[in-house]
Amino acid sequence: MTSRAITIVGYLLITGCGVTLELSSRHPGSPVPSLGAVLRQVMRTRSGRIGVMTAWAWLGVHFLTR
Amino acid sequence: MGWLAPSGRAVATVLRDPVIVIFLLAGVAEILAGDPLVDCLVLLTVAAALSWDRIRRGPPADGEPAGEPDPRGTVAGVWLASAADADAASRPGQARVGRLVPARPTRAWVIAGLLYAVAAGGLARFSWPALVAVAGPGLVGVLSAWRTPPTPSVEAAPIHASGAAAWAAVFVVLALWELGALLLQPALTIDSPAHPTISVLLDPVLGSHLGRSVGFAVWLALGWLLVRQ
Repeated sequence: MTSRAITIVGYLLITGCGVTLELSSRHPGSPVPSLGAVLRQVMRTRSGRIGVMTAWAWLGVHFLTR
Repeated sequence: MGWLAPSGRAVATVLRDPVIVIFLLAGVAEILAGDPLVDCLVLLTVAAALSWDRIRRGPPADGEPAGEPDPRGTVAGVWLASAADADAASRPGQARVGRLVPARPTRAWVIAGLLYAVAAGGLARFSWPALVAVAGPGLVGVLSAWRTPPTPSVEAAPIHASGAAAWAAVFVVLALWELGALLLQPALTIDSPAHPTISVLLDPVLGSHLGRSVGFAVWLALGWLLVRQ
């Protein structure tokens, strides 16, 4: 297995963990919140709200302007 | 030397906010990684603005959501409030999020977003027009966040700490994996196909007009979802 493949598999595994967490949050009584619920909690505070929106803006600058 | 104590208190107040600390560290990391200046400026400018705001308002009580100053006290606040008031007046009864974007996606907004994505996706890479195409919606999103009042705790259902920690772990591991790929490059500014970062992996996709337009559409949709949280 090449180092490139290992790196990509790593990204896929991490993505898979995120998808698994999101799916488990759909079960009634699950202790795992959805990503949306986590973001809502973070965005309850002023700096959290601005932080999340800045992270979104930064993603646009980083990936879409080059 | 009398200024030392107030300065120390101001620094302590700023460093109590994890969001500011994260943006400061990320901005410094951007500089060290040799990324374009605008990338780190976005992060450091917001860190500076949040620091100024935090010092102006003083530290919040533990566990208490930060308060909300009157947005009309700033130039941007006056501009946003005026624009939003005019918009709200033209559509009475329609729920607004941050009074800048509609709570529900109307057909006109969806079509406008798609047309924007198609047009922006055709702009030349590494160009000022492409940067402006991102900066416009990005600025609206951040300013909306700046002026939206904090959500009362009764509206945000409590979440399990362990569940939140699991999500935090996913993002921390992703950041570390990305950092590992970055450090394994021949140099921080030289991409490596053997140890690709997310940017390198997305390059072929975002290199075409279609791919960039889809990227813009997804990014705009994500921003709209976040603004209405």
